[in-house]
Amino acid sequence: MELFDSDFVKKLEYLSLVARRVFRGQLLALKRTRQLGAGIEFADHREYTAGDDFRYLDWNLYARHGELLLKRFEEEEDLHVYVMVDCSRSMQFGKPNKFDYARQVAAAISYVALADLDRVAMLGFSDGIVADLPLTRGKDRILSLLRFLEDAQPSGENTALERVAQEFIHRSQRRGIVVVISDLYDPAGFERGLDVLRYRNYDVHVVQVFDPAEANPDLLGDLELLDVESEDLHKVTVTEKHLAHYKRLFREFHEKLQSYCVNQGLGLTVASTRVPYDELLLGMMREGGVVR
Amino acid sequence: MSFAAPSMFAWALLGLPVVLFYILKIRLRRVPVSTVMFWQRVFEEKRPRSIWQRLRHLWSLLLQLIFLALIVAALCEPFFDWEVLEARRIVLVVDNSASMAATDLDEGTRLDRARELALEQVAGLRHHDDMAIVVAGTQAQVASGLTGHKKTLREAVEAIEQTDGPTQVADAVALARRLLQGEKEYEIVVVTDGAFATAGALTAEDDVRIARVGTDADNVGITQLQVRRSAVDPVGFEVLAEVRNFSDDEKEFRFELDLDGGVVDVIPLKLAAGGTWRNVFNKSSREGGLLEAIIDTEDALKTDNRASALLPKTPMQRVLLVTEGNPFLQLVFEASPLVDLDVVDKMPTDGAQGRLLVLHKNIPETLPKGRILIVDPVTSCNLFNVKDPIEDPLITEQDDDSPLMQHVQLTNVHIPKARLIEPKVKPEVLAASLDESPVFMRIPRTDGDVLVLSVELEEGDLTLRTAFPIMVSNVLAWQTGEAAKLHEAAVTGSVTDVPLGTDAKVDDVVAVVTSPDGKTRKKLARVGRVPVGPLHCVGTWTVSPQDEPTQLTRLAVNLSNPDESDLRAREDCVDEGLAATAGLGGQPSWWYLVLTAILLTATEWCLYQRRVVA
Repeated sequence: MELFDSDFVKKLEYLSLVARRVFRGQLLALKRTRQLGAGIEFADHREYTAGDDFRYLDWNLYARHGELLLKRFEEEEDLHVYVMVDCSRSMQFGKPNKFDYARQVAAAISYVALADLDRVAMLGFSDGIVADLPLTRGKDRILSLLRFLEDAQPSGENTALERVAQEFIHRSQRRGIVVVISDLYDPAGFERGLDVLRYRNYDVHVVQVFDPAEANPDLLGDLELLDVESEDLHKVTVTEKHLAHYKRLFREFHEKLQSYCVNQGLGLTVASTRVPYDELLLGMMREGGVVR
Repeated sequence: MSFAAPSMFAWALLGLPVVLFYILKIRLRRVPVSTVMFWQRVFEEKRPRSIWQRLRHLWSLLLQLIFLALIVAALCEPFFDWEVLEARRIVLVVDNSASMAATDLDEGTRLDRARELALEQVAGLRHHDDMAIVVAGTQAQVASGLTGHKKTLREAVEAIEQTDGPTQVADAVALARRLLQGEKEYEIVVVTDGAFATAGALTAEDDVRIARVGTDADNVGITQLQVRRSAVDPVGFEVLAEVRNFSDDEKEFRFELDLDGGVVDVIPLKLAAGGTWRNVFNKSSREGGLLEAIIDTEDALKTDNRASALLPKTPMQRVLLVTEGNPFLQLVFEASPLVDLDVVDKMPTDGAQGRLLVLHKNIPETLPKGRILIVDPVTSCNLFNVKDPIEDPLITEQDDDSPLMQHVQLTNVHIPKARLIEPKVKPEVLAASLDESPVFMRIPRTDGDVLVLSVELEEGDLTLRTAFPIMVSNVLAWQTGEAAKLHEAAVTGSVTDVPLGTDAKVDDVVAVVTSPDGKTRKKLARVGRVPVGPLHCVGTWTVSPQDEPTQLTRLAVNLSNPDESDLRAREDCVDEGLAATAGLGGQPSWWYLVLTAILLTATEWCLYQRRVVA
């Protein structure tokens, strides 16, 4: 396998060991999933949003402070980890390729989860789910998982996260952690798709992957921009003012994502392809966004 | 409109590749991006609204084609018919005489202002115009021939130097007319201060235009300083000084006379408006030196506040008189305080030993070396034979040009007896009788000329006349040579002969003439004299043989010119200003085309390229 050579597998093993030593007692299979209303042990609160079940509103708190907060409980059951990798053509952009980077991150997360006896499923998506690997368990399944990722190819047109999420929830799977690894360049917006997952009580963690050239493009003059997803051509004349405007919009996009995730209690990791995937994973584990 | 180089239109074919490149250029560089959703928002918010933005690429092509058209048109050198028909020939006469050094303007001298005006005229020259520059100070000279090359003309104007010489505008205008001979459209522009006598007449000339510089400034100047030897005192000098007030106010100042830096005399003066003061000073100096007259006035012209003259050193002369006795001859030498006289009756065996030898009556058969004055010889010698006496020789001819005969008048002198002298070489006859018998002559000799006066002194009234001591005095000056000769101070603008500092009247000796401003020129001496001039600056000039630089002859030069000292413009001199300058800088059509092309390039850069660095 070109993408996942023996060094890569060694690095995954190392990450797994580090995760065990550093995060002992907090790894996936040893912890319970956070299921709203499914358990009896109170975990924490989160803000109420439209569509939430009124039964879990903390009325006492509302009476005292006038704030609508939902109570969250822990449920004791095996943890299911669903890793969703964006396979749209936009992921082929950058050096290194965002798609390769996303696959490496997905493989690393899966390996750590498998090593801790969690169940892991893998999905590839673009304008719909283009490939999937059913739930699997055990460290010995890592090879088939890596092969799945190796075989995955960028395809489809524009990213449609909402359609993907709808497809995903209709497969009537058990609740668990959904790790979405994507650039989130969904023309319809990323919120609707993530909301669908959230409403279905999935614990969502978003890994937003971007290339530095997307944040600071070096484009000036008369150009023909080719959208690698839709293959649309746009003739433009890019000036310094346009460039500054672009950068501002890109920055606002990240701020919006961050704000959304904080408000909705979703985990978020913004990953530049310049940061090695193993460093990124250690960072994620330290922050405890994906695992606890 | 016509084109000087229509073949250059071939360059218009360059338009084809421009259009070709334009077509290629609109196939834009394709850049893949992961998403255009940000770019779409960028351009939706800043959608091109004006026609300019929509047609900007087409405008770019048009600008490039216009640029090419302008350059091609410039290469073809277009010109209008009137440009050729109205081409003018202008001669710019710039006055750089002494009065132009006046500092009556706010900044610089009158010549500085004249240069500015001249440069203005050069800058206003039209494309087909030609101009020449003539300077009119000291000597009319062409500084630049007729040319339309402005750089050459500007350099010629900037190279015009101030002189202390007189205004030669009339000569300069005549020179200008000679330059313009055969031309139909011409104009002579004289840039001057109008401080010369013929300024008014010049204004009336149809082809002359006067551009005046300067104001009617006050000035006091030394207009004369001359020195001559005293008629009564062998070491004395008579100094004539004249000072004039060229203003409408009374002026008070001091007149000072210095000799080699030491004050000789100081006279406080108060001169009425337009007044003149003249005085003769009797001074004596055996050592001589540089005599300077200075007036301490703060006026616009400094050149005439100082004048100088050179007093020669008067050396003692040793004379050996060999005579059996003649009181007149002995007394005439003894009367001079500068003569150390030895009188003997026989010729000494050791010769004259550097003294002037005066032989009376008896002479040796072979004359000794050195200069000799022989009076009334009775015996022959190796240079001449003494013949029969001449009775009552009437002097009818004398060489007044010879320094030996200066101020000597022998025509009325009664000479009852003289002797006929027959020289063996051709003599220079200084005085001769009616029958052309020489009475006083100079016989040239390689080892010292010999003067022979064949008059019998005991007879007649020559010894009683003033001519006799003057003649002896001339002989003594002749013996002293040029060193003791008094040279009159010259005036600027004049040409004079300066002795080369050696008595030998040689030809083809190269002499070095050094002016007070440090410039040197080589001249060829003729008969021991070097022609110097026209003298362009005041001060002390020096002349020396090229091979003997220490053998200096000095010459004092003064302005001494009332016309130059009078800084007030003549009343009838009207300022007519410069000749008409060309509109819009007088540049040719192609120049404007190139300028437009450059502006177009700048516009193109601002509109299309600036974004790269903005």
